[in-house]
Amino acid sequence: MENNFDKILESLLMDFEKNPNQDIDNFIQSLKTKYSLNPQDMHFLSETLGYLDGFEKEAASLSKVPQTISYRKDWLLERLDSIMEGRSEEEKAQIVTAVSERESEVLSSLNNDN
Amino acid sequence: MKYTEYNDLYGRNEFGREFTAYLNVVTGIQSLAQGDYVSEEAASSNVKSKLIQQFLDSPMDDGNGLKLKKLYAAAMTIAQSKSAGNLNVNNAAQTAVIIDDALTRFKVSYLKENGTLNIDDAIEYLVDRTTARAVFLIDKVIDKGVPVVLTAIGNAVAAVCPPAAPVGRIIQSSARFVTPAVKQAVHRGVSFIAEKSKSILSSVASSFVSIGQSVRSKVKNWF
Repeated sequence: MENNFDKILESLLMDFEKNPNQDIDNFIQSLKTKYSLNPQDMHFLSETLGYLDGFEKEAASLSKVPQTISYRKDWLLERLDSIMEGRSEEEKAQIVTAVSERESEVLSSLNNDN
Repeated sequence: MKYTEYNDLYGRNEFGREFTAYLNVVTGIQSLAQGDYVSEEAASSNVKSKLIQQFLDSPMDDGNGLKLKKLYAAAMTIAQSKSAGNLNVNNAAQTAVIIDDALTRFKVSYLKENGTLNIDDAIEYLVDRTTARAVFLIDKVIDKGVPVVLTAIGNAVAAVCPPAAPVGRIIQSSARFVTPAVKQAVHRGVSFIAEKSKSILSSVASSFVSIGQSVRSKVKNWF
């Protein structure tokens, strides 16, 4: 059964495709008035778009790395080195410990959902 | 696991292996889940989207995907504001992960079925994408010169693994706006990737060096 998200998506796709070379960010800004989005909605959307931009940049960086056996691990560690630059070894150990402990919790919770 | 050191001699490489294995596993688990969520072909719309087809046919990582993903973000925001769609997304990070993962899977499944990608490359691409998202999510919560909030890091790690239901919904919604042949290809591709992930996960689970035996056993017992 069609739901409202599908109708909204269809409407946006068809609107955008009337002029497919238009700037996507300007098009999205125009939706604020059309759909009566409030400041919280626009803030949420802006944040979401920021994450999408960030994912794209990181993916582009990873895609340029020569695909050796450990390319993914090596790239990940180099990016984390950059992110944690300037921090003490103790802080870095705390950060990766926090990542590791949450990994265990996530996997345990996934099992509980099955 | 508690790391007491983090340097080239100890800690760094071990963590790299562990986190990479984790990203492999959660990607594979999502693939398995989508094999269930996308088990029936989506109903079709009379409307076909050129933008979606262009996304499917364009080279990987060429920018067309980002445009489409932004449109989806707008659609989800509007649906959320109108309380429509029941996508139940809680925050911007989760919304972005759902969109990025769903559309990546949509494309990779299609390319696997049309012969552009073999199954191994398809799965490697999915894991690459998960890895890229993970790095950005962690980057977002660590500000230079500011004390780290460890719970924020934990939340970033959890956000890497989106709930399966909205990912499946986005895939199904997208499949409505393509031709029946493309829709069937996506459907078959999702199923094929799910099956392949099952065997990969069994072997990857054993490489969890640092995660406790109970968690390793649980992951292995899923399959």
